[in-house]
Amino acid sequence: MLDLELLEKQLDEVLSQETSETMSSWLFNRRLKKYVSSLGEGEFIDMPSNKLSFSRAVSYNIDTKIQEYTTEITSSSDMLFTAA
Amino acid sequence: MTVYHTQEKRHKVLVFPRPCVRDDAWLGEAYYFWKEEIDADDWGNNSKKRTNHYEVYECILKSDNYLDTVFNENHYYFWLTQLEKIAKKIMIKTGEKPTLKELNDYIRDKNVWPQVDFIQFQDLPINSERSLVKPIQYKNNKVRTVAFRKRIQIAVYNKNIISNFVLKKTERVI
Repeated sequence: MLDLELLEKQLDEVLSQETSETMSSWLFNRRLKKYVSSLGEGEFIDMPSNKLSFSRAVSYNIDTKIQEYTTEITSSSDMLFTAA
Repeated sequence: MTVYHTQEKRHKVLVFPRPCVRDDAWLGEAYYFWKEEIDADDWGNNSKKRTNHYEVYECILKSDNYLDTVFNENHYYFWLTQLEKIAKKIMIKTGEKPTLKELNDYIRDKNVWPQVDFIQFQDLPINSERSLVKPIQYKNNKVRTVAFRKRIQIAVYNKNIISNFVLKKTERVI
C-alpha cells in the first residue's frame, strides 16, 4: 500500500527545488520532444556543410554578372530573330 | 489484476505491450491497459482502424503499489491535489499552462514517485451502441446518451509488474 503522506512530501521536495530556469528548461525539452516525435519515425543525420561563405558572396561582383547575363540573353534573342 | 491491451493487428504477435507516447495519453508515457474487455474492443473499433483488424492482449499486473483514483476516494483527492499543485508551480515558474500529459510526465521525468507502479483512472465510454441503457429522447428529438458505466484505464510505469502477456483475440473492425 502506498503512503500518501510520503508521496506528498516527495513531491513538495522536488517542487521546492524548482527555479524558473529549471522548470522552463524541463517544459521546453518536453515540448521539443513532442514536436520531434510528431515528425514521425526517423533519425537526424549530419549533412555536409555548405562551403559558400558570406564573405565570398560579398566579393562576388554582382554588377558584372548581371551585365554578362544581360548580354547573353540579348545575343540569344538576336539569334532567335535571325533564325526567324 | 487482469487487464487488456489493444493494438492494431500487425505481422508479428506482440510478446510485450507497447508503451504509449501519444499526445493524448493523459497519464503520460506508460503502458496503457483497459480494466474491462468491452473497452478494449471499443478502443480497437474506434482507434485501431488502419489495418481493419485489431488485437486484444491480456495480462496480469502484480502490485499493490498503485493510485486508485476510481474507487479510492482518498487516492482520488490526493491525486487531484498533487496535480493541481504541479500545474500551479509550472504556471508560476514558466507562465505556461501545462497539459494533463505534461503534469504526469513531470512526475515521471523527475522520478517523484518511484514507488508508484501504476495509476487507475476513469473517463466515460464513448460507444453508446454497446450501452445497456437507452439514450434519453427529448421532445425536440434530441438524444442524449448517459454513460452510466465507468471506462477504466490503467497506466503502468513499472514494466516489471506486467506478466503473462498473451494474445487473447484478433477481431475485425466494425
